[in-house]
Amino acid sequence: MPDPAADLRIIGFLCNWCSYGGADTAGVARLAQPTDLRIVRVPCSGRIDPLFIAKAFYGGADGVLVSGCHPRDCHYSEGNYHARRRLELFLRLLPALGIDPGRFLYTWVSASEGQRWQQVVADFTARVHALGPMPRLRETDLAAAALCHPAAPQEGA
Amino acid sequence: MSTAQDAASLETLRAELRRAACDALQAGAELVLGWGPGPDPATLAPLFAASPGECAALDFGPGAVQNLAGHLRALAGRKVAVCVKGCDSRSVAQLLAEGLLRREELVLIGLPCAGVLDRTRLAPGAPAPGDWACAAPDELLDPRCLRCRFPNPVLADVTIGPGRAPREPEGGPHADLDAFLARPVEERFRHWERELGRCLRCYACRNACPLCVCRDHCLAETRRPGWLSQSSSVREKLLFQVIHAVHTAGRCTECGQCQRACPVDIPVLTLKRVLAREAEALFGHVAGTDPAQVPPLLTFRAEEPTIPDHGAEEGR
Repeated sequence: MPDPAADLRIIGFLCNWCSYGGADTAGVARLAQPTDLRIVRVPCSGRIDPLFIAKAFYGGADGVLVSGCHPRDCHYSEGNYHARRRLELFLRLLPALGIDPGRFLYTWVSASEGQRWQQVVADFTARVHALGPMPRLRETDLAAAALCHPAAPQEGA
Repeated sequence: MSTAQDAASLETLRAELRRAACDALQAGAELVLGWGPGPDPATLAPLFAASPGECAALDFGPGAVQNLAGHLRALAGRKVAVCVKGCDSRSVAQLLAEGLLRREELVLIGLPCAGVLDRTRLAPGAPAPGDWACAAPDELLDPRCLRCRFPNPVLADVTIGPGRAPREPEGGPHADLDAFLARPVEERFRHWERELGRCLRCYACRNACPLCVCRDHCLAETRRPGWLSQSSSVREKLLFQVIHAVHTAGRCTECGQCQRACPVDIPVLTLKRVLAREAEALFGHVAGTDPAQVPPLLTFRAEEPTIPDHGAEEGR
């Protein structure tokens, strides 16, 4: 059952042709899944700019899951090959940003792999829960913070 | 080496540079981009010479900090000569590799470099701590020069001055990155929160970057889709740095112009160095070393031996 109090925010970017279908297969088969995941459907994993993931993290996501067609199975022949290079490089930037790389997963799930989809979501959600909520950015420059939120009371005031 | 000998070789080097510049003008170049006298003795400022008379003011040394490759895109379509240090030549090679410059429009005057000064380590108005012939002491150099792998131009039509040996710092060129990455994850997160908190969003880092070629179409200024809002929050500032790093991933030659341009001294080069190191580990690609190379994110291989298979193992 969904539990808004205990859920974390996980954003999933799923390619239209394989992984979204795989998630649908899992749903049709009524395979129980954690409710932390919010899915964004994209035409192809090649559509996913690593900045989608950065923007999700800084916008309040606790985890980001990207899933596309298996290599060699892309609907557009080569979208996921490009995605694989970009996503792997971005994954390796995360430690430098102070974001635990365990909060980000990219993987491949085909439209028939409902069971595998359930497993991926369950494992990834458990992994993000083990890490807990993502730290939130605070304003460190108080002058800038006052400009940004003029009505907000200052700390200690 | 005696002071008299130094002075003699300094004058020889200068004369050689000025002659090469005049030769380039005679060979059809409209301008020679180089360095000349700056606002104080330790600084050499960019000098664009269009006549042999102006070429007589060209100079080089540890004060020649700026990467002149950043000006080349605006001059595309005209034949120009440009003075390049090792790092600058990598920017030119990278722009050539991406088809953003044409080799036949460039005359490259290569200047092997023993390191440039870090202005934050010098008192204002201080005398020049070194010149072309005799290098400045290490403790006054830009830290990136102390780990320089390419002191000699990778690409040049004419090279002036003695070749320099690459630096091999103790603990490798990435010792400081490793030390940063060894800190706890939350501390690294707070590090960027604190550093970017003082960012002014002036975009000097972007404007100084020789590889930021989108000009008026920068993502930071689009409103549809709205990648960044006008809010002065640390979230927008940090996301912009991620945008800059990701857009130069596999292309950045670590010339350090972004960090040097920052008026509030934010260490923005760190993210780009991490990406450059990982691009080298994953794709064996060192940006700006060969004008014929394809940037690694513009291509792929069906089998990627260096990328772990994130689909095969169940529930990785």
